[in-house]
Amino acid sequence: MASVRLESITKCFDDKVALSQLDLEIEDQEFFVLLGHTGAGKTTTLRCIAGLEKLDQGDIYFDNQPMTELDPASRDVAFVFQSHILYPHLTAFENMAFPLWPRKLPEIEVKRRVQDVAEMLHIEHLLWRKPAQLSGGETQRVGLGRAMVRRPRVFLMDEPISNLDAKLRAEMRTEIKWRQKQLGITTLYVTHDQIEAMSMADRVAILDQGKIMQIGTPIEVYNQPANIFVAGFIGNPSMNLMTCRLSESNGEIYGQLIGHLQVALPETIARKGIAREEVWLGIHPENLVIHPQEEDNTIVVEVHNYEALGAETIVDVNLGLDETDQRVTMKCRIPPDQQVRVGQTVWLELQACSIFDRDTGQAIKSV
Amino acid sequence: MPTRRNFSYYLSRFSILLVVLIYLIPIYWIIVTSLKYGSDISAPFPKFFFKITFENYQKLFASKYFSQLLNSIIIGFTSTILAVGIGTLSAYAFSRFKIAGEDDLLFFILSTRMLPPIVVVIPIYLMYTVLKLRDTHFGLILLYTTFNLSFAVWLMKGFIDEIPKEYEDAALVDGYTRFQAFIKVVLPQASTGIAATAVFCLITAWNEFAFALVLTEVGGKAVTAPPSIVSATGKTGYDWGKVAAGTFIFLVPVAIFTFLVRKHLLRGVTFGAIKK
Repeated sequence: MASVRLESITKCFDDKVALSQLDLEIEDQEFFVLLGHTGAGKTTTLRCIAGLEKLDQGDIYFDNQPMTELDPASRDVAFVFQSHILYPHLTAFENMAFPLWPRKLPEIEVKRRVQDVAEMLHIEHLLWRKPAQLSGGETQRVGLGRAMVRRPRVFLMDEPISNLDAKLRAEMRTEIKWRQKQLGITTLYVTHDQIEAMSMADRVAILDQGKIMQIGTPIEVYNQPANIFVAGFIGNPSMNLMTCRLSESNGEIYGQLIGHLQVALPETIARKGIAREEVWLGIHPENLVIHPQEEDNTIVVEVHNYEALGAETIVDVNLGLDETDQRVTMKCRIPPDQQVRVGQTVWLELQACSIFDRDTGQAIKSV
Repeated sequence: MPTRRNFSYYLSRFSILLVVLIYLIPIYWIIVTSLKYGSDISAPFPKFFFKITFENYQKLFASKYFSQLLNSIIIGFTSTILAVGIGTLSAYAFSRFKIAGEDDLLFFILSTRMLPPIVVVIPIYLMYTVLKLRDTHFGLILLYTTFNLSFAVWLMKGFIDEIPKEYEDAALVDGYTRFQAFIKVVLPQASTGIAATAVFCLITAWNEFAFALVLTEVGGKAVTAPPSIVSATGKTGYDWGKVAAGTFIFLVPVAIFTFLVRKHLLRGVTFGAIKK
């Protein structure tokens, strides 16, 4: 168990910068998720922490002990890979015992530890099988067990469950999070799936092009995205993002969406942006309410499409065409009992929104 | 329909049998020749029924042939082990590490195979004379290892490239050194490739004739089987019975070895054609 600190680490591959000046602090026993698209530098970060990649700049500390110069074997971390998790030529037992062998433990202790972990993960009956005879979920379980027998200071997991089918993935999410809390081992978990990040993380860092976009609890990054990248990434569906011009009349602040379409913005939010002429408007789908008749502060739109998902309905509404003749749509999340049909004219009410700087894309927090 | 399928089935079986028989004719010829008396061998019309004799084999036992066969075994297997061992290590380095001028180096290694070996036989003869390596086991082992190395490097690189890097990364993180990871993780998974490479290297070294002939003395201590068979001249020209007996015995060790690793060999020769 350890806290992990990265101080302005930089890593380049040939001419390509994979990580640039990354700072990160992970607390002891924390479940920390690195979230980002493919190529954002998530896996590189993990590999640097494990010592599999040499840093070009910066330092890594575990509990304030410098790790930067240590080889992977001396860092006492366990790495769970996305694929090729188990050695095909060894049985499940041997795979789990593999990390214990170089530690020169007595044979009986190795056996006991593997048995204990196998019992915990309910895989005792699989121990004598070769990886080829294990299903995807079983392989992941054995792989997890392999990481657990060592009782390392830090778990590093690189998309460990993204190769599984959806149902199994949901099961393993719960399982991994529960085990982590039970063992209390600091964990860095890499994923491109924001649902995994939201459901498992104590805190999450969103990465893009080797830079950190935001760090916070899942709720923080959802409710207060630091920039339009995070806003467009988090949530399913994610925030509706569009540029809008701000104007003031009769003491109310309006956001002009497209053409003549304008919407009254909540004042506390809009005040922050009024100094700027144009901003990015970010609206969570659940903050848009659909009314069948015209009401105060609503705009008229047309239902373009809807997905009845059972617990909720996601409605695509059509706002019209923008200057470049592109159709502008927004996604709204409405209760499942509210009926809509394609082509219907409805009135949209905006209940809350975030605004971002037009040029930098950063959230506007104060005037 | 079943009759037609049966017909094509029998036809294919018959064709296979025919091809196998044609391929086996030289082997048959060698075996029967080795069991014939001299007069039967030189009979103008081949005799299919003849009196069996083991005198050719007795003659072989009386000669130096078996010590020369032993030379072949020592030189062939040692050079194979060296070529595959060094080849696997360097293939691993080429596969896993960034090496300056990697492509050029690999091409250079391959280019040593582009020249027919016979072209360099005279320079090597002169070099070996100066270095006093002529007619030594070490000299031939060195030469065969060198010849086979380029082949071993290229073949093994292909096999090692196929082994995912994650396996070693996991071992490194788990507390193994790079070399331990190589032994415990890479080698077991490369066993198929190693076996296939070893068969090819052994056959090349085993059958090599030109250098073995030029670089050894007649009746010398490092003469291998192939030149020894050729030198089996009797007083009245070639003693074909002895040649046939020597050839047959010469085939046995490599046939046994190939048989032992036949499963790997199939994967080796179809390498690249089948993707897992």
